[in-house]
Amino acid sequence: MVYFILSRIARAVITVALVVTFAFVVLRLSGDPALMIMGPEAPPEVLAAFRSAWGLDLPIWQQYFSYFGAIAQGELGRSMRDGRPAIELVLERIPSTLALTLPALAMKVGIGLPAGIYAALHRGGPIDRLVMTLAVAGFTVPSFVLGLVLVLVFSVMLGWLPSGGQDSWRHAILPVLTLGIGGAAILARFTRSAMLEVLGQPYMRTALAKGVPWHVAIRSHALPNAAIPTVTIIGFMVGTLIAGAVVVESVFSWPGVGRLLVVAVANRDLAVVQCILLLVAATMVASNLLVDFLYGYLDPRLRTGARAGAH
Amino acid sequence: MSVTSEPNAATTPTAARAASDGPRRRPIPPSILLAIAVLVAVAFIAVAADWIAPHHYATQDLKARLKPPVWAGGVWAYPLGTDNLGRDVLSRLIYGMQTSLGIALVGTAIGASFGTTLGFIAAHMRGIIDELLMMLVDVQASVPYIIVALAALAFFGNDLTLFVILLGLEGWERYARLARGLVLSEMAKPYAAAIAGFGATTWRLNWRHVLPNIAAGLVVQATIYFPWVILLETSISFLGLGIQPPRTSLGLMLGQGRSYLANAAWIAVAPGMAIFVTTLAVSLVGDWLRDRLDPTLDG
Repeated sequence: MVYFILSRIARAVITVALVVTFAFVVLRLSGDPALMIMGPEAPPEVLAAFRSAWGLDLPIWQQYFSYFGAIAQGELGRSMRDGRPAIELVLERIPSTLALTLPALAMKVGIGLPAGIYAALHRGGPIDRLVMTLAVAGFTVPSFVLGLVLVLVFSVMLGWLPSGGQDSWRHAILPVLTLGIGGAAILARFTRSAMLEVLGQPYMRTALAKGVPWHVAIRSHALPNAAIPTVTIIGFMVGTLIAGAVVVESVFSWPGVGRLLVVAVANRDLAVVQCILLLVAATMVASNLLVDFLYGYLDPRLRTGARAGAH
Repeated sequence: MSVTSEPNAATTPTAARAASDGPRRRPIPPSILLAIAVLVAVAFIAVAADWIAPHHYATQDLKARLKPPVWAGGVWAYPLGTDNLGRDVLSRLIYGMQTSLGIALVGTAIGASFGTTLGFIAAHMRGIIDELLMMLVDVQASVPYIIVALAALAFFGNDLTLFVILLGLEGWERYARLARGLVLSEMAKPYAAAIAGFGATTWRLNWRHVLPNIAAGLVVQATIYFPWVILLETSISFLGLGIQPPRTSLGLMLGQGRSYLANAAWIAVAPGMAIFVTTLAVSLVGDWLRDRLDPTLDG
């Protein structure tokens, strides 16, 4: 178990280090980082201060390590637009984004999980067919098309809900629905296939053959086993709490991290872009780590080191 | 649906696949025939855009701005209406399909050949190269690709070539993983040992014998992930960060039509429908191909 946890933590650290390396390499390839981050109009003494803070006057391998140091200290440069630290700009947008993505996550899990389990248990029934049809639609309708359809119906035609902005809780309904519907369909389809796989396993037949009632077999054999692949996809959804609304925030003019990213990319405000990239990577890696620990809890094979067939 | 979602979730349930693994020569279901017909039509429109589009995509008719479609009181000169600059929506739709599908096709080809090559390399040089590739796969999985693509566009500036390459790189690791597995299983078969025993070079063995044998699996994989490339292109173009005006794409049209939803919804509805119908048709055909050709292939 200790080995398992340590190896997962090591992998997470390596992943973050590689993402930082990616940012470092890309930033070097694209030109003078001091100019790129601080902007072309920055006064020379600011550029010089930035260069020495980031160690840009040092050999490249020393630069690489001081880049890590600067990032560890939260020194991520300043926004070109108003000169404020990029990290501040990003952090103050996070509550807005979470106001969309947290309810959407609740909706995905609250609808997708039971729908998937029910569909698998009543395979071929009307609910199953509905879930499968919606799941295919959920895959193929991009969020911006779904979002615009919702605006067209509920804002333009019916006039029930606002089409954009962040003035009241009613403004959050359409974006949350847009994020939630597609995710719920994906989760339902995933849960359904995990359940179907488990239901076909020999141990289910054994349990039923030795007289275990159906609902007990489902509760104590099928659900825990089906939980393992399902946790992966939910973990992925948790990981996208910050980055998952880039497109939807733009559809609904919602001032969150995603909107900030789009504006920053359009203006080539690199400090902000870099800051969001690193923050998103850190969130994803943290949630992956969490999922790995949950695996260890859910799947005893991982704890004892008998890892064959666990993945 | 968000384009940052895990594509692996697209796997058909194993049980359903197993059920279809029976007799191979079943008739093509009508829904698939319809999907194939849609794809043929879409491909024709994209290829023949220059001949069938009634107007050029950038031609403006400022006297005919925001004209509704012909069934809503418009004129036959602009069957699907015009946009805020008086450009013909039908023509822009046709050229938008050409751009979106063409870019997605090139992107898929780039990702597939790059990933497949890496898969071959990994299969033949086990050990450290293998480990390095798996680490890269981890990194790619740790950040939603749209964020990486947007960051690259910000760092390097918007450029069509870069954009297409970025779209292609979205899925390289899936092709790499698949090709690696397939190559390893082909190399274990007697014919590979026989051909090598006759003195064929590694290059010839892989290029002339192994690749044709695993091509079906790779093509199915490409069909299944083609819609993801379309969605990535349309998403980024929708945000205004991909295809740049005056050129147009389905996503860009939709993004521009967004502001006119209240009084000129047709500008956005046409490309929205086109994206939905095209990706749905490709997805249906891809899933069907996978079930039929290679039931063991897992996304």
